[in-house]
Amino acid sequence: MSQSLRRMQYAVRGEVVMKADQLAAQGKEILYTNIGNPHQVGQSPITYYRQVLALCDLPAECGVDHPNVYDMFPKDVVARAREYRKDIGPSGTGAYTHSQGILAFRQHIAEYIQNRDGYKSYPGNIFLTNGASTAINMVLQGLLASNNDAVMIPIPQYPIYSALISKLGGRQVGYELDEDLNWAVSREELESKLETAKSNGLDVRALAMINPGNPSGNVMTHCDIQTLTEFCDTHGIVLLADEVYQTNVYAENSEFVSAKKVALDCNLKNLQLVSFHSTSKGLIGECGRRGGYMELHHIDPYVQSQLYKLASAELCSGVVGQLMTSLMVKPPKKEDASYKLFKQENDNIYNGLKERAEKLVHGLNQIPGITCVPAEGAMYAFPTVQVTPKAIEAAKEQGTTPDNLYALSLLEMTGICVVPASGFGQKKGRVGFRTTFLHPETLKAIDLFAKHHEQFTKDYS
Amino acid sequence: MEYAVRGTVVIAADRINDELKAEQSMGAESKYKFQKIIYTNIGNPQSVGQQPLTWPRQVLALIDLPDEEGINHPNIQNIFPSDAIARARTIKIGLGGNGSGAYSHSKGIKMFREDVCTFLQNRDGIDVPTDVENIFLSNGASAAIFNLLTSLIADNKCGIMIPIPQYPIYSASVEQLGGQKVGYYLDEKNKWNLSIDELERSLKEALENGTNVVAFVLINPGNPTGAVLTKQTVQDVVKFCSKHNLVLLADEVYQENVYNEQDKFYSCKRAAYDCGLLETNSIELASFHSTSKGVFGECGRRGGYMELTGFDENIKNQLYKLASASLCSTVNGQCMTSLMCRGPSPDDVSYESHEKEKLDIFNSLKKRSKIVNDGLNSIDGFSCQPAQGAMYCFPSIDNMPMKAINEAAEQNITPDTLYALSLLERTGICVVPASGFGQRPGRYGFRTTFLPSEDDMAYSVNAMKDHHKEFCQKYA
Repeated sequence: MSQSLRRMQYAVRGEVVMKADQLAAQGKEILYTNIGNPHQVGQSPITYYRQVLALCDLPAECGVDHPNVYDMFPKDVVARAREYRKDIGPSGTGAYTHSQGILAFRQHIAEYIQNRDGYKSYPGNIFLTNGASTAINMVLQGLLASNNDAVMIPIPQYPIYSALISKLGGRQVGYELDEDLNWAVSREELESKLETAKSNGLDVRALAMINPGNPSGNVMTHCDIQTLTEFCDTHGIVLLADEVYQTNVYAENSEFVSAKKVALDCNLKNLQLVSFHSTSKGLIGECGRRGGYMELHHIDPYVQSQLYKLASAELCSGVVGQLMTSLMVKPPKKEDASYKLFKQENDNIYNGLKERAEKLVHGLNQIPGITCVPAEGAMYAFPTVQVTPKAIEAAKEQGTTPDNLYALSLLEMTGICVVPASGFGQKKGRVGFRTTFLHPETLKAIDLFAKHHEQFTKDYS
Repeated sequence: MEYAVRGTVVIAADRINDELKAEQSMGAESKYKFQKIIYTNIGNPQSVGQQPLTWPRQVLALIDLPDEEGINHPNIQNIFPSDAIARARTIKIGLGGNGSGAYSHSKGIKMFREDVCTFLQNRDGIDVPTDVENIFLSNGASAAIFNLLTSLIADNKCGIMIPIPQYPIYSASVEQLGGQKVGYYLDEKNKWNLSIDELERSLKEALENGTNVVAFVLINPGNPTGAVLTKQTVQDVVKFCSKHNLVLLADEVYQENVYNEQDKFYSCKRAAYDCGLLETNSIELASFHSTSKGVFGECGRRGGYMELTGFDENIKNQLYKLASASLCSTVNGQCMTSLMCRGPSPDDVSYESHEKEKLDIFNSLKKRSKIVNDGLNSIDGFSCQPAQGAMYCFPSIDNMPMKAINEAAEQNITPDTLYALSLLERTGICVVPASGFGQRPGRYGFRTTFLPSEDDMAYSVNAMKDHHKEFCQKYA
């Protein structure tokens, strides 16, 4: 049995969640706020996308060419489906595609990136994958050759990074984000951690950044992105830019800017960069579709050919996921008949997320003993909680972390399933958890968070 | 790591394909003697004309459509049959009201896993126990195979027994994971059967070399060989694995592609049961299946599953953890797997047409398997074992010219790669060199599918005949 697999942890579906599932099976009502899974908590799919998808899957005689098709589908949807069917080719959605994904879809993505950043993007540098997770796995597989190969990851981070690095037998080097400064990045911190890693005999191959942040929820400033890109450029480190929440930006003064744009704006000619996006987040929330892509920038052609080889060994990613990725970057146009409903659905989802982001963080900050940095973007609040020395001791005795103890207690008392902050990494001595604000009833949970915190503090005083 | 199914020859074929398209769009004269590439390199039925089955596509569409635009739409009966609608309703309940867009349980939607269990019970008999918790729905069989190998290969001393020849995901994965490949030869002269003596020999040699052999891969029906193993052989294999404590990986993705009446697919699980190994819990067996083959051919759907038998809870938990780090496999693919395992019932309105579609595809595959097999055997210098199952013919080139072997060495490629490239340039047919699958030293050949149309396959066989004569003359 692989030891690295034994060591690997993935808290988002870890101990607390398994306990929650057990309780749910016993009939207890659970509010799952552990995972960014919008459709599981009542968010509706975007109608237009599902209609086009259905018409792409249906054989022509049963769908686009059926005499009664307009009884069920709007004309513009049928027209778009026809276009896609042409793009996909006569093989349809059932055949293996090119291992990087259907060329036409990669062209759509390249156009999207180009329009977003103002810089050229090439379909040949794009790989469509089963969610961003698969792409991240592929790149790390390509980069981590020996036990001394290391990846710098933010503290806190989305634990796919620590999990995959562990699984692949590599080493992680954490760089701390500064909670007091809205989760800012500093060059000194990066240099210091790199120095230490080198003196320990580690070869830092890559650095992961997550923007907007998960679990931190901040939307990175241009300045901080520049710091990271310059650092990686200077040291020949491959920058992995996880940008899956790029369309989840709520705060008035925040704006998403891609790592690629910043790098090109700053003329960083040597920076090697891989950027990731997904259909799981944004307003589309198509997690189970497994749609996503990575864009390679300035990656050594030999390395790229090896990534192609890795992709080809699993043939290709799911075609409907590829299709959904294209739809995500090529929404209906203003003049399309379906546009009105499309915009309405998107706006509803966006406004709901924005409202809950603000109110949840505000509500958490009102609770004595709990503080929370604003969730400018993404889908999560990542508060700190103050716990008594007795609680810390009790956790130690039980061989667990204080926030694990806290999260299990919260679950037992209120039925709310969060993820302990230790699952993401944090500064020494910090205690907290991550909760999503996806559920429409999220704000009602504020009271329960407050009551539980009071009780927990009492129990361990 | 190498993966020949999309390797050198295929990359060359894609290049030529682009050139042909460019020439044709400009109306230019072609330097090639053919108008198109015939891709016979990959088991990708729907890319070479096989039609998707109708009913599963209808159910999938209804699952993806929001209720008001789909199952509850007032005009739905004008387009969809009642049984597709009914099944979609059932499935939507099984999806827990979250629809097809949410991450599912990391093992896959429970209802779909139950359908897999139903399929297994029908296939192996209800005496052979099944458990939904032992089923992992995955992005094709490939993803599950890779995850299992990831968990088994602890260090570079770990060895996996792999058939020679094999479908190269095994060699590619083991290499990537830093393990050892322990090859066991299949017996070409005996219809690519396997012998226990050879298994024992291979294992003994590996152990003597200090390899810690932990698992054994069986591909039945065979890829690239097309062999369908007898009951006796399968039982011998499960007993061998039990005796030597090897985890048995049973790649059974072609179990629905068995063409002769006298041959029957016999699962490793049923064999384990018949040998009493399930009762005594004396075997660890992982069986793989997929929606990519059979008569469904839904490759791009990425549907498949792994069934674990006899694994202890600890290992299963680790595998669950691994699956959870990718959240879940595509829900669409999970659904297709369930529709493959449980189609319409006999009294459903689509039953007859669904069964007919499946039978037509099956009979067509059977017919083409014969056309190609017989055709290849009619070529002087070729010999090809019967394609009892799967989708491939794997002929051997018995008279590979010495000069060709030398030239290949100079170019630092295998002789059958040289041959396959020559075949491609001359005829437009894209095969995979046999060296991509592994073979005995001194043997040469290639793998071709028999998936393209009957006309294309008939052309291909004749073109291969002509090319072989020319090739042998050129390198005389």
